[in-house]
Amino acid sequence: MPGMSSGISTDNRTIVSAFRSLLLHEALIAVVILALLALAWNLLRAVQLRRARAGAPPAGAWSYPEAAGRRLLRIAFGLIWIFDGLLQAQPSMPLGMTTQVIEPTAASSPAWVQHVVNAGATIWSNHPIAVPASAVWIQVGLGIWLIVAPLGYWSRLAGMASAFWGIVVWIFGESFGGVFAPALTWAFGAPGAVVFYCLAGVLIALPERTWSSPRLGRTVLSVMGLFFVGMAVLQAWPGRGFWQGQLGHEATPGTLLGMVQQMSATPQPAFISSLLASFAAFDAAHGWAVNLFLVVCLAGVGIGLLAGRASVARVAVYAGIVLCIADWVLIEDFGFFGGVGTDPNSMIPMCLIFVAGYLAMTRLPAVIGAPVAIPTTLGDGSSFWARLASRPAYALRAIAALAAIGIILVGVVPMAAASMNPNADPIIAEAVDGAPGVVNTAAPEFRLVDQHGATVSLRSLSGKAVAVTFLDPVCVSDCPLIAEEFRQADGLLGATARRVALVAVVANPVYRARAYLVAFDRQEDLQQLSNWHYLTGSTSELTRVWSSFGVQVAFAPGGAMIAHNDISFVIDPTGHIRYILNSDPGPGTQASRSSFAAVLAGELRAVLGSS
Amino acid sequence: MTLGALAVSGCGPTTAASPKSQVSSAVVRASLATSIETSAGSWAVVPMGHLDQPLNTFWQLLFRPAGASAWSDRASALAVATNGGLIVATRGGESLAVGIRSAAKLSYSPLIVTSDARSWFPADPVGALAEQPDALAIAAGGEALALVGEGRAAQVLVSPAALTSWRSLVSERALAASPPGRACGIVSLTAVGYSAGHRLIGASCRRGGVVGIFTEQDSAWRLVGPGLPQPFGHSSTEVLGLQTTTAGLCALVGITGRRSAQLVAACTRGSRLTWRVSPALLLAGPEGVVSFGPAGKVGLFALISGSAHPDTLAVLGESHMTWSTLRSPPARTATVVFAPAGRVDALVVDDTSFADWRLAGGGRRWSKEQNLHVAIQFGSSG
Repeated sequence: MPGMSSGISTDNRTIVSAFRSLLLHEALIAVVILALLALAWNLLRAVQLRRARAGAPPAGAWSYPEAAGRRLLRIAFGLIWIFDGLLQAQPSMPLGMTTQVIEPTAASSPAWVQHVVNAGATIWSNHPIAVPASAVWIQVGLGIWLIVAPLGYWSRLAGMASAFWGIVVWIFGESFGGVFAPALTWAFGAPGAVVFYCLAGVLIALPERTWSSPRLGRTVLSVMGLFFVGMAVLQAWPGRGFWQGQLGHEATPGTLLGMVQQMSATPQPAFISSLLASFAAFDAAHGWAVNLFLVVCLAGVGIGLLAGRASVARVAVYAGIVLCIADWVLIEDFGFFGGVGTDPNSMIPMCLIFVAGYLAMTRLPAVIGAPVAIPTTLGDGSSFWARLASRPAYALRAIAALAAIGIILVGVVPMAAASMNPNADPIIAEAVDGAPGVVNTAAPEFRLVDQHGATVSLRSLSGKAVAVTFLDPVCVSDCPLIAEEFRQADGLLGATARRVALVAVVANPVYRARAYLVAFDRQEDLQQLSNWHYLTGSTSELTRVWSSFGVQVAFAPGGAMIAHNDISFVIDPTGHIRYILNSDPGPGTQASRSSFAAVLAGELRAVLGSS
Repeated sequence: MTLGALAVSGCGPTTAASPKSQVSSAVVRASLATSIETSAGSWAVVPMGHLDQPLNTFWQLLFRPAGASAWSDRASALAVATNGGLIVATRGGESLAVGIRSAAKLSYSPLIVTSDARSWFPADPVGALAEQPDALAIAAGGEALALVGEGRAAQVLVSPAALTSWRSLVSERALAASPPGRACGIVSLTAVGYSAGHRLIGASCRRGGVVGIFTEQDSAWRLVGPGLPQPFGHSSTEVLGLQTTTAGLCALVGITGRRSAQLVAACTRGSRLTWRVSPALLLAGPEGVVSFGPAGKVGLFALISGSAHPDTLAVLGESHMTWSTLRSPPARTATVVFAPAGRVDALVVDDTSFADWRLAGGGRRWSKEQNLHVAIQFGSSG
């Protein structure tokens, strides 16, 4: 019986098991790639050993060491990407990402932001298995790549890839970090954690010689200093609800308190909830003082970073680290709890950036040996293949980078394929309604009148694949969605639709006049389909058809609509029912409608192919 | 990820009728709750269920057979979800037509008719009926008017007979652009009705002191509403309803000034459309018209809510055009029924419970006559 659209739970077993299964399969592909590259490494080692025995001169070592700040960014953000990738593998991610992360974030942003973000969310919703799994491998691969490629083009390319993927995540996953939303604040993670990933990626992608001068570090610290000062001004701005712990006499939580209370309710270890609850209580009592402290700290750190003197910057960096960690624990709640956390939020990446800036200003790379040759390529100008053949360390890193790129491709290829497919995966329909029943039984004959007044019987449709369902023309929920799914299925069939009849039988004993069928068709834009037949008849005729298909139609009490089964039958050209579909449209989202249409179209094609 | 990501926003359909008007001093609006009499008995339309959730608010059609004392629910006979609200009209007190307002994904309004409350016959569907208590009217001869659509897309449809073959009579845009429409400064169309064979359309007017009642004469629309006295010369008006009474037709008009809202009734009888206007009822504070309808042979009733004090039940005596006030009905009264033989009932609703309170003791107290539990299948239409 139709009920309130149930939606798909984020722990839907069908989706979760399919997600795990795909991750496992893709992991196997990744292992195969690693095995092949390990084989390549062995071959290279054999070549290198042969050259060594033949007395070939060993190629030079790296002539220029990596700057401390760059190494920090590369390894730390590599680890963070891997961590983020593992978070993407959480079972709630396929269905929770759009509904619990993307949509709520976009909801407070302007319409154009929502429009842009919706494009990405639609791809994720339509392909809830392939796209989340892709995100796992892309991020794990990026992380590995950053870690294993310390210098040279491989490393800089990793930085560029990291920055590019960061932009993708910032736009589609974080709705531009909420920078266009009214409640923008440093304390909640503005301008989005991934902005710092992008910044780190860009810094890593810079030529290595850039890190040999303190200018880069000063620039980074200046940018971060301006950012902190700007955030202090924003935090101090009146009328945004930060100066009050609670608003008005009804103790409505202020902006900061509301967020902390919300975060403390996130599923997480009890001691963390308790810590947040304590801070919430403190903020409720001393909201003004808390915000003043925050403003002063932000401004202080910002001015310190802007000072341009190492001694002052050092103090600002330490203070910034303490402030960021305090915010990370007490306000951002570590960022990754609750089953749909996608990263550890902004504070750790932010710290890494200004610490790297400080290191770039104060610790220039030490030169090993002389003369100094600042590498613009990979060290000595010899060819790539020559270096592969002669340098074990270079070969190992190059092959490890190739392995990382291979892992990224395990994600990129299916994601690209999903992005180009506008139709949702059938798995969504299966998650809502279960797998279609496969049968082979003679379909009951019917003879009714369609919306145009023409008599239609199952026999008159012989030679065609027929989809039969039961729709109430005055239904306010499920039936319009099912009708839309049928219309979409017709579109997916293309030219094959000429060999298909889409049939609906009225499922309301009161509103069965043709005027209602026409009104419903107009409402659902079905008039244009020449193979659409909405059938009606006398109450006794309809009752007979309902009964023969096992459909129950009953008056619901209390002003509710007529209750009836949501069910569809796919009948082959010889008049045999081959599939029975539970047609409950579930959440009725664009993805679920598209998915059901894909299933229906697939089965209609199947019965045409098998006949 | 910014923390805003975890601030889940609420959402939900907004197509259902608001069970109680959200009224400020600047706007007078009326709920769809009402009562009506036919030869079969008394009918009432009330919202029930979870009134703060549009798709779990179910409008109930209650019926009390003539001469009986108990009410019963007839909503399931409508065979359609009633979340959007019900609009009722009677053809000369003989049959009852019920229009079901669209809700959720239903974009048009089914219509269904009965003369005995037992047998129901669907009429042709009509475009989405407007959220106005008098969005449907039937003349004694069988012709019907329906106000459909909202805002600038609103229009009045006409059915020549038996609620079939609806065609457009006039659109809000066309009427607003006509000379009488400009004289009123039409904001929106609000009601339809008949008086002595005249088709009437009610509207809200931006122009001060003008009551927007229009009729078609010689293929042209004319503004025929009454002029309001000088104190209301700068107040905008809205025709809340065009109610057929035993003597003729009464228009209930909300008047909104800068600081206050008031209510007047204007009644006409005969074919000349000459109006008599009642004194104004002051609506203090955030009050609204909970319900209005015919008050038997007396005239018209208006149930006015107040947040700080009990609801006011005002009755317009059509003969002298004066308001009198009856004893305040019990809390949560959704509508009042003026039955033949002078019986007055207040219908009180609370979630799935319905109670009938009768005005007794010579009008000094309300006494409970009936409790009824209405079986509502929550979620069934959403």
